[in-house]
Amino acid sequence: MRNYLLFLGILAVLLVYFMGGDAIAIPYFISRTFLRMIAAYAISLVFSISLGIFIAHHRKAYTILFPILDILQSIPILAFLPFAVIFLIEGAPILGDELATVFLIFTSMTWAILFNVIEGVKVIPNTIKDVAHLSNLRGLRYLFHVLLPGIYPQVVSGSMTAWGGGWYFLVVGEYMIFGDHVYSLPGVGSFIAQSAYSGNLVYSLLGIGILAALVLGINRFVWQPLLMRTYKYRYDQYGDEIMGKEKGMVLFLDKKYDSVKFFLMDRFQGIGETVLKALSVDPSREKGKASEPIVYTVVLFLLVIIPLLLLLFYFKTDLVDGWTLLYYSGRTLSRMIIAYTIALVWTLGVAIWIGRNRKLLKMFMPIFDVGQSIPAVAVFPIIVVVVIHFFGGGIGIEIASILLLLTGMQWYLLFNLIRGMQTIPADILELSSIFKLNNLKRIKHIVLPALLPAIAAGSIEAFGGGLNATIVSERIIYDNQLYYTDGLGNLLQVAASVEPPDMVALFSCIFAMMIIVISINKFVWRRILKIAEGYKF
Amino acid sequence: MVELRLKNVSKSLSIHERKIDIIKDISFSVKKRESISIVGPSGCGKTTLIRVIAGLEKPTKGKVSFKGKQITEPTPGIMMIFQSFALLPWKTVFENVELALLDKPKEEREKTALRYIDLVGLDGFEESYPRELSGGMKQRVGIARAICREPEILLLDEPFSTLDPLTANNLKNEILRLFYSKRLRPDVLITVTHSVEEAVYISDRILVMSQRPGKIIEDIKIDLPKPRDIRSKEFYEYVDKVTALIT
Repeated sequence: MRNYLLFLGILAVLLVYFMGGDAIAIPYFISRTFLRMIAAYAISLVFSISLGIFIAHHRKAYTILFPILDILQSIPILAFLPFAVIFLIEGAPILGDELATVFLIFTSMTWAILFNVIEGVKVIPNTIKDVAHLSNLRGLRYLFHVLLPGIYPQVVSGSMTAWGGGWYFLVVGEYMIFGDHVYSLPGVGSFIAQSAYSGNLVYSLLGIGILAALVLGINRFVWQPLLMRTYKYRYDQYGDEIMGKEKGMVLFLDKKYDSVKFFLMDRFQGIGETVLKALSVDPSREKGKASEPIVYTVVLFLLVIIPLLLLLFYFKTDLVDGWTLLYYSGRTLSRMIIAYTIALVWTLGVAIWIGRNRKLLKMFMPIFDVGQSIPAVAVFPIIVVVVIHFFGGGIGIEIASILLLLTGMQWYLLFNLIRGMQTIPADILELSSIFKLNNLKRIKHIVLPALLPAIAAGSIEAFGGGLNATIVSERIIYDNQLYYTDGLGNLLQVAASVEPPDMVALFSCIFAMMIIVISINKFVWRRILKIAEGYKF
Repeated sequence: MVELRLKNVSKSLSIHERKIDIIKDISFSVKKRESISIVGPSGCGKTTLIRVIAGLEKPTKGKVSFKGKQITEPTPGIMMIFQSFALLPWKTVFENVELALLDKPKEEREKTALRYIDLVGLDGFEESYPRELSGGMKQRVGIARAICREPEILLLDEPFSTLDPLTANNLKNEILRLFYSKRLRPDVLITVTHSVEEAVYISDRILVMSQRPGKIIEDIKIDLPKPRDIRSKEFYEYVDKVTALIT
C-alpha cells in the first residue's frame, strides 16, 4: 500500500514536471479510458458467462460453436475495425466513436473469460451435478447455487487476463486509423499512441507509467481481494491455508448480492426454468451424442479457403496477390515461431524457478501483470531508439518486430506455466528428492511432463495473442517516421489505412490469418493437448 | 410389497465409436424394508447400476420401476449418498442440507434442514464449512442432505470407503439405526460397496455382479439375526462365500 502510494506520488511529480499545465488532462484521460474499459468489461462478462454456460451444457452448440469461437478469438482486433467504423462510427446516431472503441476493446477482452467459463463448468464435479439433479435444482436455482459460484475462480482469472488484453489493445481502440480518417478519442491509449507516433520519448515513458499505475491499482484493490475469495469456491483443497477473513465491504456486497439472487429466484424461477431448460442448461449429464469437432473444423477450413481463393482470383487489388500473400504469411509465421521459441525458453525457466516460491511470486507477479498490459505501441520509442538505431534498418526492424511480437505472446505462456507449476501435487515433486534426482533429471522426467498441459494451453493462447500482435509489431511509427517489414500484420494495417480502405486485401489477410490459426491449432496444439490430457493429475 | 423392480436392464456406452456394454440384462426386485448390497469386482458397473436406479442415467434397454411407475429421471422418492460427499465448498453445513430442499417454502426448509442436521449429530456445526469438517462429519452432512427429502429409497454409493474404519463403523450403525427405527423413512437401502464384510453386516440380501459386462451372478439372502455379530462363524461363512464369487 505504502509502496503504491509512493509510486503514485513520484508519477504525479514527474507528470507535472515534464508536462507542466498539460498534466491536468491526465486525470480526464484516465477517467475516459477507465469508463470505456469498464463498459467493455461489463459487456464481455455478460456475453461470456451466458454464452459459455450455454455452450458447456449444449453438446451440439459446443461442437459447432467451439471451433468457430476458437478462430474468432485469434482474429486481430484490427480485423473488426471496418465493422466498427462502418456500423458504429458512421451508423450510430450518437456516441458512435465511443461505441466503436468499446466494441474493439470488447473483442480483445471477451474470449479469455468465455473459454474460462466453459472450462469452469467442466470442472464442477459430476457428483455435484448429480446432487443438483436429484434435489430438483433447476433453472435459476441451479444457476445461482451451483453454476455461478462454481465458475467463480475461472471467471476471476479470465477477467484478469481480459483486462491485460484490454490494456494491450487500448491504443488500437482509442486511436483508430481507417482510410484517411483518424478517430482519436481522449484517453490513455490515444495519449500513448500520439506520444509514440510523434516521437516524444518522455511522454511515451510517462504513458507507460500511467498504465502501470492503473494496472497495479486495479490489481491491488480489485483482483487481489477477488482472487483471495476464489479459494472458497474451489472444489480441490488447493490454497486452503491462504484463505483470508472477509472484510466489511465484501460482506456488504455479499448480502446485497444474496438479496438480489433470492429476489430473482422467487420471482423468475418459472420463466428461468423454461428458458434455461430450452437451452439445456440443467444438471442432467446425459445430453445426447457429441459429434467430432474435427469435422466442423474441416468445414470451417473450407469456408475460409474458398472465399480466400475467390477473393484473390475474382477481385483485383494492387496490394496483394496469391503469391505475395503466401510470402507474407511465411514471413509472419516464421517471426512468430522465433518469438514463440524465445518466449517458451524464458518463461519455462522463470516458471520453474519461481512457480512454487511464494516469496518470489509475490515480488515478481506485479511486474508481470504490468508487463502484460503494456501495449506494443508504448514501447515503439524504446525499440526504435535502442534496436533500430543500433542494428540499422534491415535486420534491426526484423529484431524489433520479433521483440514486439514477444510482448503479445510471452505473458500467456508465463501465466499458464506458473499456474501449471502451482498445481503439480507436492508429493510428485517430492518424488525427485526421494529418488535423489539431480536438477536436470528432475526437470526432464518430472517437471516438464507435469507442465505439458499448461504448455499446450499457454501455447494456444500465445499463438492467438501473437497473431493479434502482428498488427502492432510489423509496422512501427516513431517520430513521424515509418519502419515496416513485410508480413500479414503490415498488410492489414496498410489495407485499412489507404483511401478508400482496400477491403479485398483486408479480407484476404484476415482469411490467411485464420488459416494459420486453424492449421496450427489443429495440427499441433490440439494433438499435444490430447496427449497432455493423459498427463493431468 | 415390491418397491423397486428392474427388468432386463442394460446400459451400453459408445467410447471411440465402439459400443461397450457396461451392465447387461439385470433383473431383480426389492421389497419394502429391505436392505440390499451390490458387490462385484472393480469396473463391473455397480455405480452405473445405482445411477440408473437413481434416474440419473437412462438404461439402453429394460425398465426400472418404482412403486409400479417407470423411472426415467430423478424422482423425489429416491435419493443418493456419494463416496466423495459431493458438498459445495462455499456453503455451510446448513446451506448444504438446505440445497436439497430449495423447492420447498422457506420456513419449511429451514425447519426440516435443522431437524435433520440434528438427527445426524451435527448439532452446533450448522455454520461450519465443509473444509473445516472431518471426513466422517462431511459424510454426515451428505446423509442429512439425502434423508431430509424423506426418500423411500436411499442409495449409497460406496459411502464409507474414504473414511477410517472406526468412523465408518459408527456411521454404518447410525444408518442402520435410522433404518430399523421404522418411524423414519427410507424404506429401502441399496448400498454399493467394495467391502464384503460391510455388505454382510448391513444387508438382508447381497447381489453379486460379474466382470464387465456386469450381470447378476448370485442373489444371496443373509439369514443372520440383527444386529449382526461380526465375530461369529456364520458371519464369516457368508463373507467367504461372497468373496469366493468375486475373486
